[in-house]
Amino acid sequence: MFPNFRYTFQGSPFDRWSGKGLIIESASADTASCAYAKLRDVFPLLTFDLLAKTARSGFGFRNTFRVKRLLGGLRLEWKARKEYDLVVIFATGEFKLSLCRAFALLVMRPRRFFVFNENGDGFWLDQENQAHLRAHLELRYHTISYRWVNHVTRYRWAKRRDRFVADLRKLERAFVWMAWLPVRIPQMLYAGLLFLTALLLLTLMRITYDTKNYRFRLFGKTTAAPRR
Amino acid sequence: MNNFLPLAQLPAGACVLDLGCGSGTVSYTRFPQLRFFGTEQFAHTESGSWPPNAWIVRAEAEQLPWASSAFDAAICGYVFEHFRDPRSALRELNRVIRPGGLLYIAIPRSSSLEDRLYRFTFKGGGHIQLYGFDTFISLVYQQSSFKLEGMGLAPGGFTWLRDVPLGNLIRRLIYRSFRTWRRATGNNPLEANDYLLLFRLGEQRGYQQIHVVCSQCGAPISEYSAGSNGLWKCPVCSFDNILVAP
Repeated sequence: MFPNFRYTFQGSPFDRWSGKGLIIESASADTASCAYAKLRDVFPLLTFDLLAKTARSGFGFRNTFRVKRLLGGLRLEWKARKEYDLVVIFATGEFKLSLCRAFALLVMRPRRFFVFNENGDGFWLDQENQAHLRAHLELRYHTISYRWVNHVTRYRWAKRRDRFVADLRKLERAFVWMAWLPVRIPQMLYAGLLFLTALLLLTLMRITYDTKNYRFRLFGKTTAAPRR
Repeated sequence: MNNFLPLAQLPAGACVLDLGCGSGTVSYTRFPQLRFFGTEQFAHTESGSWPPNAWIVRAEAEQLPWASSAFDAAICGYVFEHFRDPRSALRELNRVIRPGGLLYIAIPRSSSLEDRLYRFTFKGGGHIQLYGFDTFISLVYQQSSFKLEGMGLAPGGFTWLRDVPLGNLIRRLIYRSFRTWRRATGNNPLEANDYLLLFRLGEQRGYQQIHVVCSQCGAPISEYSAGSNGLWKCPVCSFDNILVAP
């Protein structure tokens, strides 16, 4: 779809980068694990620390900071703000550790922003890569093109209309149900009465049942043996 | 039942075992090309009115007096809940049916209203075993090589009420009450009272005891060995799991 998207990595200095990196995990497990593997491909010489809410395995981190309370994550970022050569922030739109993300953008004071997706495609966030940014945002949030806006709006209105129609139907069904209620309650009472009568008769049978011979004895008369 | 067990498609001269036949689970005269071997525990089956293609034997399901692989199909209509030892009965069925042979089993769902009423009326009524679908299927798969080929859910029939004095009256009352209840509320209390199950005898058992599940990849593991450090390695993803005794 975007033939020049991957082009930014050709001849890039990333494979010569070495040092310490910090990953602020704020994505779901699937997205994160996919991105970790790609990160390892893009920055092969960096060692990463992980700031996460849950413990991860399967990717070699130097240290894993598990943030049980959000304040712990903020404090760590404040202390380590000059320590890391690279800070990776997952901006996936998911809510996890979002405060940590925002705080990291403030305190880490990055000189350059680099945007890349979970497939390892990426670009520097600057004037030259405007087209890339536009494409990326369109792909992610559908906010740029009015074609998308119209589509989404139409979809939302259709959904609202469907919900409204469904509610109307529910309301109609409720009215019908309530209209039938004076009939239904006597019906249910009648059914209960019939069933109770049957149960009473069965209880009578049971009282007069001879469990040793598997025979009923009613009014002095023995009946046939029961069989299913 | 005839929809389930294709008796008409069996070859001429095929042997069918009718386990717990009573007075005949199927009409033997409808299939004159087949040979039926009825088995019943109680004496009232010794009747002279059996058709010429049926032979009735008094025997117990736990010890069937026939050679191995003797039958092409077997019928067990509402008898498994009466067995004292259903495991032995299943093993015997596994023995006497030839590989690829069919087994039809009908059991009442023990939690159904009809079965509860039956047990209440007859103070148990000989229903020693109480089955649900999963318990019965796991029992069959544990004890035999039968594989489930088809199943049906039958509504309640209250056939046992024919042995009760005023049974027809009670049956009419019950059906009428259920019909009225269904009209009033929309749900049918008679739904899914009995399970009709059709099995085919396979080569080997389809049952496996899963002891542990890998906490990393979720693979079910039957055989595992814990190391001295209390960890066991998943053979799929080679993740070191902490051993928790099941």
